Amino acid sequence: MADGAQPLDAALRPLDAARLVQGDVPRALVASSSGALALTRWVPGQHGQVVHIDRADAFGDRLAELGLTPGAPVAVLRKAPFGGPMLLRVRQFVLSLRMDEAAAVLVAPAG
Amino acid sequence: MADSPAAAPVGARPIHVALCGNPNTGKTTLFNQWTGANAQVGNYPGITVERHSGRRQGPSQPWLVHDLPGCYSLTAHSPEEEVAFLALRGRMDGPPPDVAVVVLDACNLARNLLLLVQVAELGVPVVAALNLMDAATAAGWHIDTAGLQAALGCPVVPVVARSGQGLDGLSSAVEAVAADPTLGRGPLPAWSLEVQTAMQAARAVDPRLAEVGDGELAWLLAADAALVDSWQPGLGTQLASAFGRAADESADVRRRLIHDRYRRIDAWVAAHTTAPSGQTRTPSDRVDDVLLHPLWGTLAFLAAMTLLFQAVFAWATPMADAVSAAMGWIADLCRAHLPAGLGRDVLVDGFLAGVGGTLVFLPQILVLFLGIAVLEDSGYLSRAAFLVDRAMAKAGLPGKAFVPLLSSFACAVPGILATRTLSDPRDRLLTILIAPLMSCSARLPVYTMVTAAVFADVPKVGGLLAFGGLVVTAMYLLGFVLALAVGAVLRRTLLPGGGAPLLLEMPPYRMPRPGNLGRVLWDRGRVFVVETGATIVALSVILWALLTFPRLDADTVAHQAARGQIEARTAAGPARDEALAQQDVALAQVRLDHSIAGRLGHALEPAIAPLGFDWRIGIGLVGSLAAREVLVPVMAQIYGRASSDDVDDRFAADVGQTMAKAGSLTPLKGLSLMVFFAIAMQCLNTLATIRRETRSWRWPLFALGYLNGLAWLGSFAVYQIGRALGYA
Repeated sequence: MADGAQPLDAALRPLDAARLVQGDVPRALVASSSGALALTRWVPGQHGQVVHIDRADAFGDRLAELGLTPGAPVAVLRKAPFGGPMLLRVRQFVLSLRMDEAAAVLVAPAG
Repeated sequence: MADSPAAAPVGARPIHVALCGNPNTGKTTLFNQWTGANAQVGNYPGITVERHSGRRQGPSQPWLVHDLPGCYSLTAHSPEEEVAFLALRGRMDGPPPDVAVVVLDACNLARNLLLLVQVAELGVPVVAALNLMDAATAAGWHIDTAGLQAALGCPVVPVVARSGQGLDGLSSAVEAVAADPTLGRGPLPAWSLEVQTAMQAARAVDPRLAEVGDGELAWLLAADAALVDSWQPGLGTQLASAFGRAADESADVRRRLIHDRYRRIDAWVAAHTTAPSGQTRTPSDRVDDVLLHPLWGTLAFLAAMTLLFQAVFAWATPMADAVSAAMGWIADLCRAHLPAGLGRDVLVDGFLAGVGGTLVFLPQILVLFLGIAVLEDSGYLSRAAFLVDRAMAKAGLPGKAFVPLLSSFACAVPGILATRTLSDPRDRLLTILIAPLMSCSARLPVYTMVTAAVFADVPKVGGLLAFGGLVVTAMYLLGFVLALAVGAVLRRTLLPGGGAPLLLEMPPYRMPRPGNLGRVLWDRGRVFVVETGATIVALSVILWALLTFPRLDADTVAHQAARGQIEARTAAGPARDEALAQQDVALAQVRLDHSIAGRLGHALEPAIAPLGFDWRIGIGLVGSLAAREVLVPVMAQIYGRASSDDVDDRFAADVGQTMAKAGSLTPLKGLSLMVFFAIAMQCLNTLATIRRETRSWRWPLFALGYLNGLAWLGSFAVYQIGRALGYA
């Protein structure tokens, strides 16, 4: 796999690490950051790789078809206010997912 | 090449070229470049996916180009995908294409290549058009086209569809592949062991699969069972039960097929492209910092929507007025030069009224679609949907439903046409069904008529706000709130699905192209005038007949006698002319009363009496089926006043005051009437548009039933509660 070659928000990488260390990110998130986490628990600026789509249905297939396959790079760009959808960069494009949809995407933090 | 026998035209038949690609790849731009004015828009039979095709003269032979709907995959989870798949298999409405041109976004190669791989798996010869090369180069991408071409096993031609750059090379590649399909065979299949095992098992499941190739089998394994069943009875169900869904992705054959494809795609992309180094924030990201900002983004959204609404509501009006005036002029011309009689009446009051009733919507529709096309082409529509998604989701609606609903405040007809931006058919239908609840501009004359008649003397609330104005505002709110409520109910009953997944792609911001905009306007305008217009004209003629027949001889005889008396008694001059004119109005009044519509109005009285309406308003309700604002001239006719084609505010207020004097309108009855008009479906044009867009009479009739039922209940509640509270 050549995923390392994908253009991730390199500038954001140190920021993420810093935020994790400084406790800028909720504790629960830090505690389990070694494993995969549902995208909903991520904050803008974080990025990682898809581990698993936790939906064995046509919607899960659609996410996979759009490129959310194991190992694919994902970055959270922003979240809409009031629990609205979130914006992701998947491979080279930008996708918005509702929170309940994003809950099915398990991602392992990069680094 | 010219003397090679292989290059000879494939008989006299043009080569069939299918254009496929992800949405937002510039596929339509390429199609327009190729077919220009020769393109035809139609609908695929039975579904609302549009079908675009056109002829062109290629470098050495004629082509027939089909623009397949934009889609991310061929798995057929959406109508677009199903159409694209069936067209590629030659099961839509023509033979399979000789060549499929897969348009790839060079900035987003991996996801785009999935479709190319799937097309090639189906055995269709492919040519890859690597579009948006200019944007990719500007962003710092380097793509090794030759290497990619070798890896993909098909021609890869870099193009810039907007400027036409590279299109000659693309055309030659298409004709070369048409002449020798092996040149476009595409990547050879390479499935993982798990998938190969599954395919072997599948072939054992059903003898029909023994001869099927790997590529088609891969499609069958992932496709919707019902779709496969409709094609090979029982096969889909059989495969679905043999290959159940597994929670573990690596054990799920449908997911494995996708992973296998992406594994190869990732390898090709890694080997033959170089990603931009350094900063990875695109210009679009920086624009999004503002336009998706919680505060600035919301303000920008409100500004954009206000502008769009203003354009439809206010700026299109002068053009609509000009159309009305022109149609009035033509009608007058016919009246002046054609012999009086039923033939002239049906032409002027039925046919021409229908044509005018169609054309008068055209300015609004064109202005709205120009606005939507700019929003869509620029990439902003997806952002707007992202911003309002949360609020719309509460009503079970997708974020994109915002634009159609907003437009419906001007007029439901363009609003319903605008639902075409919604990709999910159920979302689209739901939005269509609630759009008529938005208080459109045709309700305003009715609101004006009532408020001027019964609320004009009510003192201003707090010394500031006119009571009538507040009531009108309340009507707008009533429609909007009801729309959300009905949406929520329909979502839980007739149209379940919990709102389609959002899954919006945010395309990079791009400059809208005037050529594309012009084309959208032309297509929309033509389809509306030709197809919806036909229904409107037919319904208009039927309504004219209802308001005209039966025409009693006794009425005409009495009228002639009365005219004779006037002529005998009064000397020629203004006094006689006025008396004659009054007699004509009286005839119109009697005729209307005796017509089918008039009788219906009387027959309706028991049903509408609990709402506070008498038979006169009953006739008005029948007449206003054509369009709500027709209530005003029909009421004028019933009360024996000279009618006017021009329904302006003063005329409406005048008619209302006449009704109030006659006791037909009181403040309570007026409020009841306004509530009825705020909710009811009284618009043939909307019905015709719903029919055209849903391709059936079922949904327009459903809308007619539920909206008028709700209107009755609403008016009933207002009138009865008002009476219980002591109002008259």
